[in-house]
Parts: sequence; C-alpha cells; structure tokens
Amino acid sequence: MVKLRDRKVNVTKKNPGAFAGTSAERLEFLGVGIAYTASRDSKRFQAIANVSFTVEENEFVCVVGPSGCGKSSLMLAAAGLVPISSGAIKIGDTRVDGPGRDRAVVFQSASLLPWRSVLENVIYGLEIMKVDKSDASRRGMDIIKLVGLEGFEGHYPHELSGGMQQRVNLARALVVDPGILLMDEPFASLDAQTREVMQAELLRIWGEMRKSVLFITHQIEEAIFLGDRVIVLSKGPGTVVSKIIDVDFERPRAETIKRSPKFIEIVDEIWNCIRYSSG
Amino acid sequence: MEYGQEVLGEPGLTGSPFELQTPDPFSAENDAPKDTFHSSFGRLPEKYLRVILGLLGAVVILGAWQICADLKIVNPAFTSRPSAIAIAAKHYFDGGGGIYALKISFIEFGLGFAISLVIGLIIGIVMGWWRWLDYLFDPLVNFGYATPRIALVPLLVVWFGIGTASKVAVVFLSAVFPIMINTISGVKTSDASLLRVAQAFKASNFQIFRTVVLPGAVPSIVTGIRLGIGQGLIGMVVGELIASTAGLGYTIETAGNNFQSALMFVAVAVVAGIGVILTQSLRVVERRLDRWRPRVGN
Repeated sequence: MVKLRDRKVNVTKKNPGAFAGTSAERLEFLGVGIAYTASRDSKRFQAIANVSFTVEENEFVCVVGPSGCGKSSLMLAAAGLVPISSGAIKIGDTRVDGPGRDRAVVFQSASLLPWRSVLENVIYGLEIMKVDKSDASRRGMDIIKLVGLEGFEGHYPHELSGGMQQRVNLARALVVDPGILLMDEPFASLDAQTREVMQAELLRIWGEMRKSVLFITHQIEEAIFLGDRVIVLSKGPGTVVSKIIDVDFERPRAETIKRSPKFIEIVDEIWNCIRYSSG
Repeated sequence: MEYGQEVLGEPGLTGSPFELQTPDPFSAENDAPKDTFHSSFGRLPEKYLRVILGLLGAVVILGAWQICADLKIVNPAFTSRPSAIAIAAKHYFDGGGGIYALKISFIEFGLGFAISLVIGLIIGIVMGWWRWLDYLFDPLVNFGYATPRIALVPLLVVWFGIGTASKVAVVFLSAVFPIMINTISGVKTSDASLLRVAQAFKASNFQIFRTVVLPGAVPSIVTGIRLGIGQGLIGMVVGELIASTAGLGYTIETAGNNFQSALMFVAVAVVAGIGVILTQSLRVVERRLDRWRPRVGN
C-alpha cells in the first residue's frame, strides 16, 4: 500500500515532455574559475582557477582530486547553485546561469525531507515542476523499483539505513529525467561494503537510463571503476586540471577489474599525479 | 511482528558476495514490543500500569488529606478537605454560579488565545522569513515578552474596562509572545541542506516556503502554542484576580476573601483541569504530526 497524504496539486499541461525521456546532454566547462569572498575578512579566495573539460552525451566522467581542491564547487557551479567568476559552463549550447530542469543533483548527504515518505520524497522534484500527482506517483514507483527500494515507498527516512537513503536521493534525481546527473561524492558517508554495493547498483541503473554523469569523488578506485574518463584536479587553491585519463575497460564493468594490473596501473598514475601536483 | 522476523538490510546484487543482511541499528522494527514495561512489576502492559499507579497515587493523597483534616492535624478552615470540596463543587455547578463563571473564563481565554494564535503565527512567519522585518521588530518583541503581564493589568483595565475585554487583552498579551518567538525561531532555523535541494530543483520562493520551511517549523510552532496555552491561562487567572466581576479567577478571589477555602479549591481545580485538557489535546495533535519522527528514549 502506498501511503500518500492528500494534497492539492496544480494540474497543468506545462510539462508533457517530462516523461518523453530526455536524451543525455553535453556538459562543458570552458576556462571556469570560481572565487569566493570570505565574508569575514573580504579576502578573495580563488578556489578554482582555470578548469576546462567536457562531459559528452551518455558519458560517465569522474572528477578526482585532493581534499579541498574545489571539486564540489565545480559541481555546484554546474548545478547553478554557485556563481562562477570567469569562463563559462555550457549545457548543450546554452550557458548555465542558475538551477535548471535539465540537471539534477545527488548531494553528498541524502537530504531527504524527514516528514515525507520515500515516495513523497522521490516525487519532490516533479511536485515542484507541478506535474500531475498520479503521473508523478506512477513514475516515482517505477524509479523506486529501479533503484531497488520496492516495498519501502511508505517508509519514513529515519527508518532507512544510510545506503537506502542515498538510493532515495538518487531516485529523486532520476525521476525528473535530467539530461545530466551531477553527483557530489554520494557514497562518501557510507561504509566500505555498502559503498561497493552502491557503485555496482549505480552502474546498473545508469545502464538502464543512459544520462551524462558528472561524478565527484576523492576515491581514486571508485573514479576508475565507474568512469569512462577521469579528470584529475590539482591541489587547490587555484585548481586546474592536471590530467585527463581515458578508462578503457569494457562495459558492463565487472568488479574483478579492480584487481587487474591495468587498473592498478591507472590508480598509480592518478595517485602520482595528485601527489606531485602543483599547489 | 516477531522479533527478528524481518530485517532491514541493504538490497544489493543477487549472489554478490557483498550482499548485506545486517539489521539496521536505527530501524524501529527490531525493537522489543513497545507496550511492555520491563521492571520489577513484571511484564504488565504499560498503559494499564500507568492508570493503576496514577489512581493509586491520587487516592493515597486524597485519603491522607481527608484523614488529616478530620483528625484536626491540620486546620480544615485553611486547608479544607476532599469531602467539603466535593460538596462545594456540587453547589457551585448546581446554581451557585459555577457554569456562568466557567462560561466567562472560557470566552475570555478562548477569544484571547484565538487572536494571539492568528497574530502570533502570522507575524512570526513574516518576521522569520524576511530578515529586515525581524531586525525591525525584534526589540519590541523582546520588550513585550519580558514585561510582566501582571504589571499591565491595571493599565488594561483603564483602557478596556473591568469586564471581559480587559481579560481578553491580558490573555492575548500573555500567549502571543511565546507563539510568535517560537514561530520565528522555527522558520529561521530551516535545514540549509533541504533548502539547497529545493533550490537545485528550481523551486520558487513560495514553494520553498510551503514544502521545506513551514513543515520544518511545525515542531517549534507547536512548542510555542503549548507555552502560549500555559501563559494564557495564567494571564486569565491573574487578570480575573486583580480586576474582574465574574469568572473562575473572580470566584477564587471572593472565596479566598470570604474564607470559603473549599470553594476556592474547586475553582483552582477547574482552572487546572482546563489546562490539562488543553495541553492533552495539543499532545494528541502533536503526536499525529510527529509520525515521521524517530522515537527517542523510552
């Protein structure tokens, strides 16, 4: 039984395309710089200096770098939540200047609305977009099945484990059918075993709903296992791209590749790059 | 649900060596059944125990009181006794002016509290949402909250007369500030990560308010309402004690002046009873709103 509270929902014909299945989009970073002004002492702090790379359609790109290099800022800028001070971020052909419906964010902490059930949380984005309630619920249930949470749609967030909450987080981002999925270290707060399960789950889910993905992580192995390409950032402040590495393993990826010599080679390459990067 | 029958585990790949079936320590499903009170009383259902012990305590106290008064251990002219109070209660509500006093006090509190609810919530929300309004009115709110209502009653009587209106004003002034202050706090302390989620979905300000800020503020608001009820009741009684011509407080005042201690206790008990009824009703509402919360403690 799916429990939903009664709520008046604006039924509009505004978004018929929401279920047409948006195709994956292309995300470009062109000479992007991000600077913060610390409010305390008004000093300008250059978090990101000059970053350029592209996430092609249907590509899974991982960004890896040392702590504090501003990886999350890049993602927040792509999401439109943080302004950039130089350069441009483009989705398809349009510049990013604020949040948009063509992107969806999976934050590091699940950030579920605690007073809503799983299903109500998942369809939150659709509710904001004023999609009809029954359509939204139907699509929400499909996504809930896809992320492996069938049977839990009536549960409240506090009744779920960390990994399950992140699945809801992911479902919430997927249900609005974005062209680009932005993920900010989504598995960082999970224990090692759950994290490995979630990595495999993510690849399975991504395989069924091809989107472009920008995946931020500090875990080198995770980046190589998941990505088609790995962007290595240098140490901050004033971060730039150190290296872009193509990851050539076949899809679907088997977990055994983590032990293969080629994999370990790439890990070493990236590790060295990070260790000896300028900064 | 049997203990251990179902565990909330991590749904993973079938056959994967990483598939977990560990019970989630924070899930409520694996706790022992909630209505058993493990103690020296054995496995009695807690709700029966609460009633039994409660009644026992009340009976013991009332009995001791009656006995002390009958044996003149204490002076019954001052302390009265349960039997006399029961008789006085019967007289009071059976044509002794009790119903009328109750009606007056009820109107005074009801009206004053309703107005304070409306004004407290509206101003609280508005001041919590728009920061400049908060800066503007905060000194006034703090000043109003700190002012003892007792000190204002004579002034209010001058303004509104000795009748019901001045008491409504006292109740309003007593209840509005806790409601307002807690509402402001609830609105201001919205979870920043949830706000960010709403922004990422490009929610309008109104949508952010409706879906994140307001539901998040409900616990604080309910707390404010509960405090408002308490303060409002005090305001009503104080107002009637100082200057009134009718009502429960008036009864307390005149009964006290005439050494009718039994009648005084009756009126005091009625006031307390109203307070209990109101706070318990609020508790029921609160429990319904709190369905999504994890259970903390016992």
